[in-house]
Amino acid sequence: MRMKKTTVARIFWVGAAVCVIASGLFFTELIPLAVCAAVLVPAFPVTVLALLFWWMAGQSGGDFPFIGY
Amino acid sequence: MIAELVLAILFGLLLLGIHRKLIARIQRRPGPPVWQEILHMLKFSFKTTWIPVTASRTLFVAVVLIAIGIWTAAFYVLVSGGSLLVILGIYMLHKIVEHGFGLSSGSPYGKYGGVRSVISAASEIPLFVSVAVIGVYSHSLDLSSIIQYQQAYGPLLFTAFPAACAMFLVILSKMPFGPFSIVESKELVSGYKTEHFGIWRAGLEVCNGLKTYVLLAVFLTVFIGPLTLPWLLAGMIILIVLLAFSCAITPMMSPFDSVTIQMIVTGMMLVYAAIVLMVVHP
Repeated sequence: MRMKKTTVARIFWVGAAVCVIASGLFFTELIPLAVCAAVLVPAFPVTVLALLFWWMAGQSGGDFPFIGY
Repeated sequence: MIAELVLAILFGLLLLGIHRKLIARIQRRPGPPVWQEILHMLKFSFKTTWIPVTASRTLFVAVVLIAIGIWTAAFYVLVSGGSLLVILGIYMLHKIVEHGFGLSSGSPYGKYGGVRSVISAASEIPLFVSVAVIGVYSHSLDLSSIIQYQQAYGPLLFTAFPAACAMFLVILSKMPFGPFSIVESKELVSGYKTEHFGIWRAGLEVCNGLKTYVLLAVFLTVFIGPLTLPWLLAGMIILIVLLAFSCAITPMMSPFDSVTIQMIVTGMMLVYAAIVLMVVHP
């Protein structure tokens, strides 16, 4: 399985947008905390890992992380 | 809410750094700077990352996501003043996740770490009997109700001191370099997380920061009561100092001794809970 830097960057930005929007909606009292948490619990871990992949990935090709040994 | 979550992770990692620094100073070593765990997380995120050929790929990746996810959930249960039982349920889930970490890699070190995680769970989880004592006093296991009880009757730390000691022992068993840290002992390299390197380990560090923050905050909420943010953070630092002293002056026990001591404490807690039940609710 190969993933490109651009792919994980997209995953990160989508995840970050979901997290920020859910938090914003909670602060404006449009959604309760339970709904905000229900969105953040799955979205936050994916966003974190996508961010980490994004900044360590090379610019060219799909060279990480599944190289095996 | 995302900002609070990120700050909780960073503060949790800072607490782990203070923990390491204090242990080192008590043992007359210079030790790393207090922000070392934050640097550690960043360092791992820049390391080469792979999945071992012996690993179950799906589980190998999924456990990292689950580890962060369950403590994110615990953080929101804490913030919303939800049930203490849910947080302790997440604590038990974390044990299963540790087991998953170990088994997913296919490494014998990871497997032994995972098995030890189950062994330690068998002795740590009965310590949750302390929760029964809290329930007897406050008539509820919701954090918000426990806070209300303490506002009216004073901190449970004094009313139910043995229960606080048992909960302290539960937290101590989750701290690195502690007497009960049998899942990460050196003969297993890094235990259940041996093969989770690079980004996977950075994700695990994020989980550890959040876990530390949540467990310490829960302890203070349950046994001290309502605290403003500065006092909560100060209380967490005091608690981590106590934990660091406990870890620094006690050697890591063998798995057998670790389980034996925790089971003895559990037995004492059962007797205490029975006495409280007879006295408070005769």
